[in-house]
Amino acid sequence: MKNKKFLSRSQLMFFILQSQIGVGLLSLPYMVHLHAKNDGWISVIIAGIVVFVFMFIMWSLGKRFPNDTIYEYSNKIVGKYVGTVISFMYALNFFIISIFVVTITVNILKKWILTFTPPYVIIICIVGTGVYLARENLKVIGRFFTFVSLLILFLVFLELLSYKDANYRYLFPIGQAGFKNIMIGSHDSLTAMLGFESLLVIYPFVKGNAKDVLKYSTFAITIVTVLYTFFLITSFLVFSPEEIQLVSEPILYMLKALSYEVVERLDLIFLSIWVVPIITSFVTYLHIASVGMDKIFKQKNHKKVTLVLGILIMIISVFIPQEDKIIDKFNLIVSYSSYFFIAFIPFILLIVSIIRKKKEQNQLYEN
Amino acid sequence: MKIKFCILFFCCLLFLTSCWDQRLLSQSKLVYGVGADLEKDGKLLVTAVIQTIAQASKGTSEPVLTNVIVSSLANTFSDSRTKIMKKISGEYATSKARVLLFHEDLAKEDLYPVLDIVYRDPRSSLGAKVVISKDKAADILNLRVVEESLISEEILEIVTTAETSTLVPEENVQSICPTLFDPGEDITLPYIGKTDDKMIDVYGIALFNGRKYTGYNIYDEEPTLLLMMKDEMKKYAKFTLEVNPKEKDERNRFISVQVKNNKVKKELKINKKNDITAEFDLNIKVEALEYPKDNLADQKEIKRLNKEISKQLTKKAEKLIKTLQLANCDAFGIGRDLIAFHPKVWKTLDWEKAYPKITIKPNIKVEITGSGIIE
Repeated sequence: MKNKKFLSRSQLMFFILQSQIGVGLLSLPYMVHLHAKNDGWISVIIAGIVVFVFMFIMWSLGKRFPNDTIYEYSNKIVGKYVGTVISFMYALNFFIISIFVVTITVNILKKWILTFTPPYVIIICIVGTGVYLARENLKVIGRFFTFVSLLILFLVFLELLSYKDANYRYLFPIGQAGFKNIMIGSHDSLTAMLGFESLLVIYPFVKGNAKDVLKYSTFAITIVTVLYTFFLITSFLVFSPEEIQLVSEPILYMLKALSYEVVERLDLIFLSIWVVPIITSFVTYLHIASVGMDKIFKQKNHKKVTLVLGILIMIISVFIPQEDKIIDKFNLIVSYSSYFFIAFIPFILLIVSIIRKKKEQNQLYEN
Repeated sequence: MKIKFCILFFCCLLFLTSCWDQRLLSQSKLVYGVGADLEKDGKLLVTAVIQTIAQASKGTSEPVLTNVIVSSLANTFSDSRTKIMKKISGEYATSKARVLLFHEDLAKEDLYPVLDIVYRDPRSSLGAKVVISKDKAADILNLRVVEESLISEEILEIVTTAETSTLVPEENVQSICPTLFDPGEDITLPYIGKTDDKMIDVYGIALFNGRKYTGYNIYDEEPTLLLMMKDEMKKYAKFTLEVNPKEKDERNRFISVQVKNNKVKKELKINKKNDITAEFDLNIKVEALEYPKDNLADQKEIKRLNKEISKQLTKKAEKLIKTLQLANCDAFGIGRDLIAFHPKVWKTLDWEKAYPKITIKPNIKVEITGSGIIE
């Protein structure tokens, strides 16, 4: 089966960018501050470097099998049975993360805007739109992601407005938290940077050679890291260290106080726009999960699978109670289990494929 | 095809019924100002200013805005909302509150518990001004109309005007929050009161220590001086100083100047014994607004005035610093500087006890650069 080349190189960049940027950013400053204190921005930069390393492993795997997704080459590397198990675990992981994204989004939307709206309505709206887009092929998704990336510029502009209350002294002394805490902070911020593992699935669909893929994925990761660092520093400058411990969504909170002649409550505007990057990461996960399920269950195309998965996500999300305790646990599970999928398995697969000298035979004919 | 269309049609209908989170403006009572007093038994007397549109009594003329003042005795702010809600028709909407007025006795207890609900509620307005009042907040709000404008607007206007004249710090509910929690800096808030002729007057600045109002205030030129030392000068800043005490005519003794440019240099010095000295160097360029003695064309006179004004302002700054240290109000954020740039020194200090003992040296240099449109 030959995969079609759907994504242009710049679309690959925006695809990874949009998959990475998501709901995690809103509470990122708070999460990172728990351990890394006001050195959190260092943590994010470290996390960005770690993400690059993981991405590099995935890329090396993809380079060896330029026409296969992870669902296919895992079979080729470790055999049919183990390979299927790995594929299934990946698809399941992506499926669970899409539920996680929906749950957190509903939680934040309910907290900030739609206090009385029943969760199922929000879930239907998010999953409905998500399924509608995720059913399409990567060409459509890629174009949409590229288009909505414009919105991010607008969000950056909104954040810049809050610099009028900034106090640069809150950032000092640099390195106060200590090395260990900064590393724990990197772990916290890594959760918000998840999404680059979609490279495992979309690699064969990109037009261009291996070098281009590496280059544009690195661009994406760099942009995300810089953007996150900016958002983080902004919220550390606006809130004092003691206050940020009380504010769980600092990025929104600092916009709430701004008031101009014609517009007030910028947090609501921000959140309304932010829903788009959230849905894009949901779409990514849903899409790559359904591509996986589709391969495992040998379906003709992933459209039907997407619909089934979408309905499953709706049902499961409705039954997850909207309580902070449960969501925190969910977050913990996702953040630890993701290491298994973004680092451990790709690494093992890479080692095994090198040892067993597994490589796509027709690689030479590709450019 | 038809069936598909029908399904889509009905699905769309589902979303058209209504919205759970709609809040109609016509059904809500917009609160523009809230005041709180501490009663003797420890309860809160919360007074809310609600703006409503009253139909004018005569014929079909334009509707008139009026104030409705509602008070309730409650344990907490949230409790007061429930109690006031029972008294009024429609939803009690604090999302547009512009002014929060706290009586000084209440502020002396602790400011955070009364602000908590404002920080916690997703719909509250964090842009509201926080003001400390000398007289009971209920009494002030019950003036209803001052200077032909509604009370909540009047307070807001007065405070905003004072902000542009560098008389009070420009703060709102959110902007005081980082400082309120910061161990290395203390907040200052506008201090207002009711005059005998039923007007509102901005007296000066109320000084806080941590989350509590200290009871110390600064008046007259000191607030402006404080804000200038913090490099927070707004559009205007004026001083009137007695420079010719020997002059016969009372008017001739004074000069009024307007600040054009203000440059602040702050320096922290720590010696080996951990004695902290903070030096403030201010370079102020002013323009004479009023000088009845009128010999500003004379360079010698200007030099003398420069010297005299610098001396007097430095003296005033010293007095201001004394008050600040007496109140234990670290308005300059010297503690924050220590945390940021001398973390080791900070750790050895108990700032609460150390701050009143540190040395703060003001050094103000004034230069007259203009004299209006006459010499």
